[in-house]
Amino acid sequence: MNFTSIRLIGASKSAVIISTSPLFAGAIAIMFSNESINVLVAIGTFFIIAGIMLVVTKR
Amino acid sequence: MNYSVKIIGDVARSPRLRPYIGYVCGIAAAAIYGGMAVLGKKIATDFSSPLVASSFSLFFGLIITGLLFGQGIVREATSLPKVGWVSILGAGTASAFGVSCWYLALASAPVVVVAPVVAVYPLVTISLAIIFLKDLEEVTRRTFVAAGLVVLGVILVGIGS
Repeated sequence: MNFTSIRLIGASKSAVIISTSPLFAGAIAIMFSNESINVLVAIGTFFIIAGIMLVVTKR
Repeated sequence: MNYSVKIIGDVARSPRLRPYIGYVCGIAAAAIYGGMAVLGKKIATDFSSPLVASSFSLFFGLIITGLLFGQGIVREATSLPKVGWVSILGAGTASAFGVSCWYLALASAPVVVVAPVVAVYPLVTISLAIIFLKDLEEVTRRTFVAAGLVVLGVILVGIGS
């Protein structure tokens, strides 16, 4: 998946998207470890989604 | 599974859909890596040493990839130039060291420290792309800003969780 993504959209954009994995790790931890979301996590999630939107959307 | 791989391959050949498949694969990889982080922490702290965990996870990864894409791998490998093999060797070595260091870090430090440090890697990738991939891809200011936002976001998620 990683290499397919690199091939289709380039290494720099792919690296930005794949670096969002902690977001998914957090979601899995919340689902399976009964952890809760705090303000820092919420702000961080907003920044990550904003970054992804910048990469995915065209100007 | 092979059929779904073929469908992805066919769709990826469509020039209009190529970027979208790239984004979907990137997000799927991020989700899988995210799950791997949770699993990796559990394995490296509760079950085995980081080096055993990284060695076997890479070994099983090789077997599963071989089983899924075996025919395609053999077909492509026979026509690969020498420089391609050198690049693959470099990527494989970097991946092996990266995974080993990652398990070592998870075993010896809290995830809240490890995750933000590892999160800086897109900035390294973009810097290397500017230096080595000048002819292959253009790194825009937009990508830089996006990488900064994601790194900041991941650091905040790491500190907050």
